[in-house]
Amino acid sequence: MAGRYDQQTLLGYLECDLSIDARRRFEEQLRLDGPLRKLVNQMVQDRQQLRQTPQVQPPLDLLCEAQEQINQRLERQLLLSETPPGTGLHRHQGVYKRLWVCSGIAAIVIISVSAYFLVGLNPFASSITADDDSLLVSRRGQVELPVYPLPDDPMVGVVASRIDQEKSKPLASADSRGMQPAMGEVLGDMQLDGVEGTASIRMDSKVKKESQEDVVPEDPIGSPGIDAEYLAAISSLVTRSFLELVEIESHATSVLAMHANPPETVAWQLVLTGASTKKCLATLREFANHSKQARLSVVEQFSVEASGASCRVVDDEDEPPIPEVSVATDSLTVVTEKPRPGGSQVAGYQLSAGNHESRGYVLHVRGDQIQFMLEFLNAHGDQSASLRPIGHVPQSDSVQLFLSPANQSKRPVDGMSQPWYEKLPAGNQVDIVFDWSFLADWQPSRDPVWGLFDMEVEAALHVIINELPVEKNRVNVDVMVIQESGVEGKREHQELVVE
Amino acid sequence: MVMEPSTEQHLIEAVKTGDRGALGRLLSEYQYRIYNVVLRMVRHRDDASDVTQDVMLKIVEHIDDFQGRSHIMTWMIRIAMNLAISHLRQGRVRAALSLDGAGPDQGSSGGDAGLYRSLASHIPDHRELRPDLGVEQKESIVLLHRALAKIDIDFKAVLVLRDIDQMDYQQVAEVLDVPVGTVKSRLFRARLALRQQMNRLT
Repeated sequence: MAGRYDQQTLLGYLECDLSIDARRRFEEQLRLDGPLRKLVNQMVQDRQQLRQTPQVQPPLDLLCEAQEQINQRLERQLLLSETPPGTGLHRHQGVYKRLWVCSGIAAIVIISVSAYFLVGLNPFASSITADDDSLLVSRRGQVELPVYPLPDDPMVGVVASRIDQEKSKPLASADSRGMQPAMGEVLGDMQLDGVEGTASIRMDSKVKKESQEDVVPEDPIGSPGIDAEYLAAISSLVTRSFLELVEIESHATSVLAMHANPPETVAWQLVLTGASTKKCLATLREFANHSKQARLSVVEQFSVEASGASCRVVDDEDEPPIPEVSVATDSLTVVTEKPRPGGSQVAGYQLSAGNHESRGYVLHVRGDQIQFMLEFLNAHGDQSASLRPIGHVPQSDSVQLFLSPANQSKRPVDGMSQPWYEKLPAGNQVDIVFDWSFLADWQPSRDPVWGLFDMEVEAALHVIINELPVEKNRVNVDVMVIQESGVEGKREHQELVVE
Repeated sequence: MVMEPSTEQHLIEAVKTGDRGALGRLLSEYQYRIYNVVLRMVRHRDDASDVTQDVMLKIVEHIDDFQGRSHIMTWMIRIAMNLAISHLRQGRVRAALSLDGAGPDQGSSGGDAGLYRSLASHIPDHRELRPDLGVEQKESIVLLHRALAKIDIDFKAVLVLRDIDQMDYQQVAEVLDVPVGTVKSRLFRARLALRQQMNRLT
């Protein structure tokens, strides 16, 4: 049929680039020609719907692998002595660099030899040196250099600790806008611009283990009734959120293990691993510098009881945030500040146990910034961070999925860095609690949801089954929705078998 | 996400002097868009990841060849589109895991395979679509993408670039390496082909 018409005009109309007159003429033609009108309307609709195609977040490991390829390429160039592109400048830079290095080494040798002779000739050298230590400290702004014992296994984790240059005026008390440069200064001193006596990095093998204790759930929660309309309104939203989380977590080869003790928190723990701590801190510094809703503050020295949990509340963004206590000093605690009906904002709780005494860092991020932060980290190629919700807020919309693999095998899954399931109790049941408040664009849908809900949950479970240590791919699933009042909903049982 | 031209130029210059950080940043800026173009061509997320990986490798390998005659984004999308088309033409589609059930596995039924298909068929569409869309709209969009999968690859490419990636004619022409007139002609035929497929499916 379209052959009967002028293609240019048809396409121009569809693409909205006809002149006003031409458009008017064509619309007149449409008015008189029913079949043409129908075709054009359908094509316009097709075009609009194609343009509504949602953008999909790429897997987190994509860029990481690309980065590896870049590194391999450059290393290969180096090994083969290939001249990299932009050759002349690069080669000259290399020559200058080598000259600088040689000059530096020569200078160090000369200074060392001079110092050796001076010390050897001066009978008061030892006492003067001791005094100089304190003098040096005062010149650096009352910097104290901590001394940490070396760990047994230095490869497990890195503990980064920063010595605040003004202990009497903690950065955490600065206002949120003023926090940005301060935060940059902190991390700049600490991690990025070299150590130079202002920071210390400690290797610690215990922290990770203690952190993992947090993900062991306690008792599952009961399930009173739930309002059907409410359920209909939120379940679609919930499952979307869940799927999204699954996607994020599964690609990060992390796990969906949440804290269920007690379910009164909305904290997210950003876990950094080992040597990547430095890189991730640098990335976060950049993130915080660009995000007006994020600020990074230094936590003062603290002490936590072995069985204790700590919490901090931020009432208002302009108020100084109370430092978050983090026992796991190699982790950043990312606290969502969840908007509430009354307008106040509540920060989360950091639940942890341990007996360390140290400093930590807290990145305060608004709830709706969490997703952005993840994307930011991803975009900067930092795959070292995994984000874990460690609880949820009472009086909020949450869902708990209870997964219990039928097979009790605890064989580690390839690529899983956190064998969280080894910490599961005998019932091998883990509560997955999540909160979608950080997904600002998602609105509750009024779709009739139970069918869709079940299906999407199954689909989601299928994704995460890959992360579960099951051999027969048989998973018992209980799904439960928690009401706004904190009342838990109907608990539906399903058994899922997947090849 | 569009980078400032000056920043982009600076990054490209840095890349050409062997700055691996700059190359990483360049890729990180554009991987989202590249991945989405590839995904809409090959449809399956795993395939899209594989192809995007190949795209990035190509970019890394050939960044020195980029002359700056076109926009870097266009150049990257061109690589992405070429690889996606090549992927489709070689038939390396994950037929068994076709996300909309439109693949060769459609005929089988029952058992775990059926369940798997049933699960998989719900992963991309409902999750990705905006929650405020009605059920009919969602179904219509799902159908549209099923139809898109069935039309000629060249038609599909032009629709993906023009409608989904929302490029202008000139950019589409650069990516597909054809004149603008050809783009317009192909676009019109692509829209007709898509509509015909839709009519068959409904």
